[in-house]
Amino acid sequence: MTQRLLNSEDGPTDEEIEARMRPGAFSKAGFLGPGERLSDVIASDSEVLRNLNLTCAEIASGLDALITAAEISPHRQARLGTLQCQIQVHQGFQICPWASDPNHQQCSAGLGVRHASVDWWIANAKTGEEMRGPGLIVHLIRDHLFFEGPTSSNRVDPSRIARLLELR
Amino acid sequence: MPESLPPIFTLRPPRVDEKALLNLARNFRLKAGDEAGSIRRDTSTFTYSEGPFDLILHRASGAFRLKDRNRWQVDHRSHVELSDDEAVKRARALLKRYKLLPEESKVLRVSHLNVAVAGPDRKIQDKRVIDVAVCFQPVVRGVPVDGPGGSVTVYLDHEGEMTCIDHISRRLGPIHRKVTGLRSPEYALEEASRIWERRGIREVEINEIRFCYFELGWDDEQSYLQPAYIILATLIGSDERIRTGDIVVIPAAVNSVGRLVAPAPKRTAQRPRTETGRSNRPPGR
Repeated sequence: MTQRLLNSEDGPTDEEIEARMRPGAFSKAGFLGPGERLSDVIASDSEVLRNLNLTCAEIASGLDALITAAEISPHRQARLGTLQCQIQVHQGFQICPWASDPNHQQCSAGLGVRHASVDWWIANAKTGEEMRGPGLIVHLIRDHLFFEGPTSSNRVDPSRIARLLELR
Repeated sequence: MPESLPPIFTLRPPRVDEKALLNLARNFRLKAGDEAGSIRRDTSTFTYSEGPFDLILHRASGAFRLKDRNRWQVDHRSHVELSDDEAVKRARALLKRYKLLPEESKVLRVSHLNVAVAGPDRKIQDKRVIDVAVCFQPVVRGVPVDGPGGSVTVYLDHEGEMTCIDHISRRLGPIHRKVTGLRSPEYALEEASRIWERRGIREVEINEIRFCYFELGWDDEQSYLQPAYIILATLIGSDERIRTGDIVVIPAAVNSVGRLVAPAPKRTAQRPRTETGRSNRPPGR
């Protein structure tokens, strides 16, 4: 959708971003599987959102609210309605693959990176469903329309997260 | 259910080579010459690129997608105000122009791609529709074609111009065999129950049973088009909280041909984990 508009002129090319996303580059597990293409993954997830009648912003905002609530809690957990969120705070942080100068600063696309030092676990007390994921995903979804590749262990499947957060 | 027994059709082998790709490109008024564009190949597709257009032809099925990279799913800050009826009218006219409208079809759905912006306060603002998709479902002898295939979708932008076409509708050949009888939906349910039982599923909610001609997806080879029941169900976990969607396809003809879908891959036991699989640098990665 807007990903090409969000890439700044001096930002990395799509090929460079894909290379950064492969397992062992910016992340051991990788954002994209070895054979996956960024544009295909984004296009396919956009079609899923179309059928759910949802936007990336709505999903990212739901996640952001839960993670933020857990971050400000001394016990690193929070409950909003039927949704329970626990986070684990790590030393260090994950760099966004879209960052124009990854050795010196985080990505500044959209609202910028948040929650890059945490992993989250969210459970829905009503349905019993639960999911885990990285905090960086809020920025990836909201500002790059990216849920990670289908074979990435860090993927946050749009249908599952929408159901978990009761957005549909 | 149809009034007469729907036959089993042979499907024509897909025409999938560079010549077919360029002919298809010409059908869309592209120049399709050596100087005008380039062709890429991989194990499952041929892609012809000319200007902003990519034409992707799938080897196994002959299905194709024509997309305008600069406009399909790209937000140019516009908002589609086209009514659904108008979108259907334009999509139908476009498919007719390219001779891609199935002989008989119905509108399966009209969907919209929404975009929005969320500020730091997480309020959703500027919600807009950046394209509208009209999906046609082919109908053969009164029976809809369903499954991962069996659809022709046209995507239109705010000006009603086409930004992408997805065409996954195989070419019918002659009748392979007449159907001597149709199984009942109850039989299909019993078959599906046996499948779920083998998988250890105890409780299932049946949402919908569809009678159709079943067509496979982009990267599947398929030789016959035959009647089937598609059962959409919700599998319910032992504590009644975990609910997962499931789809089962059962042949409807008593004299059906071969398998409708490939068997599920066998599960292999996981090796014990010797390390966490995570680096200590970034979290969760």
